Amino acid sequence: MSDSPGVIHVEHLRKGFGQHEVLRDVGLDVPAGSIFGLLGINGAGKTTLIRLLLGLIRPDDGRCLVDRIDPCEDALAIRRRTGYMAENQTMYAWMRVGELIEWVSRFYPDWDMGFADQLREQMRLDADAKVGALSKGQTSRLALLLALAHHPGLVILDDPTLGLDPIARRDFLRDVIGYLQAAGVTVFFSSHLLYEIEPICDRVAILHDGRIIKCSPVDELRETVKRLVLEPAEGANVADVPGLLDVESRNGRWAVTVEDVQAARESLATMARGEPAVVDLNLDEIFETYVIGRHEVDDA
Amino acid sequence: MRSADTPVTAQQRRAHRRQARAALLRKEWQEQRWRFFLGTVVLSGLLAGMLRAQIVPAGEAALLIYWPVGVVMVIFLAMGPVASERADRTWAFLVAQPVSRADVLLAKWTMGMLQLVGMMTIATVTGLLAMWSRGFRGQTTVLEDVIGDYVLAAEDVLVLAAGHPVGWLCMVATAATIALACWYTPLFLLLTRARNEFTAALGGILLTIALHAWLAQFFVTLLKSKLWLISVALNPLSIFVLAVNPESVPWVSGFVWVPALVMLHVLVWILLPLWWVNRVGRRAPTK
Repeated sequence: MSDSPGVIHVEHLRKGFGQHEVLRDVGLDVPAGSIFGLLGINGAGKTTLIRLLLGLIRPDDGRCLVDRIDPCEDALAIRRRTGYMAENQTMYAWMRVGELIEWVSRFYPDWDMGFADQLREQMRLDADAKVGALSKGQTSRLALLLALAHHPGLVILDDPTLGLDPIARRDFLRDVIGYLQAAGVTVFFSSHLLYEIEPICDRVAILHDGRIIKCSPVDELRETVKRLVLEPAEGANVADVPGLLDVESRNGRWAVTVEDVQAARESLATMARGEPAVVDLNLDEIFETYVIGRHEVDDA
Repeated sequence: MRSADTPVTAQQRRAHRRQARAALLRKEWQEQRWRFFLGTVVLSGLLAGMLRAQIVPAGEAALLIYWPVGVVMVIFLAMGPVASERADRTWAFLVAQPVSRADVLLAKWTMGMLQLVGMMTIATVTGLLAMWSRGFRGQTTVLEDVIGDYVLAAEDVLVLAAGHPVGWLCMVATAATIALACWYTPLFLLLTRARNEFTAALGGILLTIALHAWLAQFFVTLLKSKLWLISVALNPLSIFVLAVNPESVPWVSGFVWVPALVMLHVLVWILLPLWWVNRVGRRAPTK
């Protein structure tokens, strides 16, 4: 983490519901201007973390700051200056699009109705259409409009494409990229769909089992996390490989995934016959390695 | 984006909060007005119908309508605002707006309360018109068949109300409105926990039955135990019972105790719960 706290700063955050501890000692920093992806499987605690950031629930322990404001102190100030789009956001079906936009505008002092109209036209949303009659894709676009029309410096998108078909998802992501990158705002994008995050985000954090198990720029992750395919020498012990994430043994060869390829290469040189082959991984494979791979290390 | 350091004056904050509250109220009206119209039609229709038909005396008709139908209307108004939003999953969208839960709940409570008072007022005016259309004939016999022993007290009330059925009906309507408002507030707050309207309705019915079981102690222990009577006097609906039977409090004569009791009820059943909502609803909940 950098010395100066980011737009979002979380430290030692804990949250449980009854006996179930959802977040355990979570810490992360989201730098200003970044597009930050929070990756996690369903139930990893992504939505809980976002609800804590917005002050919708209180943490059991630890603290977080959003734009230097503690949500426990002034959640409304955070929500006024943040654009938030919830997963499967359900809005008032009986309202018309224009009516809903006008109603939501009353809660934001910095609402820009001209910009909202411009976004509505660009997103091809009919002001007179009933919200309940919109398709899922249109509903997502309307939710995005509501999250952007007050010019927030931080936009939090919680699994925004959940339930969308591939075409609607592609259109939505194109809108997100179009509006957010141009505006230079900080984006906190949670998703369980890796291919969705990969082209958008410049940093990612992997949340698993209530903990952040990796937080790094995407490029750095791609450069350092690699798979090495090798033929092990007699007596080689894969557990000695530094930063080992995953190992798969097939036909007498190992496919070893490591967190830092440079450090692992030196170690593997002594336990491999010949030079290991290096395989690049996409974010999907890296995520899978972090989340599932560890168990396979135990078994190896 | 306004930075965290940009000053916002207290006046701007107040103006913004007023604007947000007005928006919440407007939305509640748009969403819940069908309850108001339906409730008004039912309450007014039944009261006017009974008063005009003169099947029973006016006071009895007022009691028969204001009490059971009024109590059902309270459940009807209290069960909807939060439970329906939870069931429709719009609650998450609403509370994610930059507005406190206290303001959301107070807007919903206020709209329900205005609708309740509006329904009672319109029903009373309609009842008076129905009585007027029949020349106020046959309106002076009250309660005789219903609560036998208290008929004298009721007649005293009639005398106090200028000996006119209009006064009597207005007094019963006022007492009923205060009593129903006192029950509406705690019921509304309790039913905010319900996940859907069915659960809310069931909860409302069970709580109202419990309330009447508590109130029934009044008739069982009347004149026997002051302690029981004091306990029952705290029942939100007891204003209604005691206002139409002032002599049932044997050690105090007439209406001396009515203002004190009304103030006590408004404090305990309306102001204290609202103060609590305003205090707790400023913070985020634990889940």
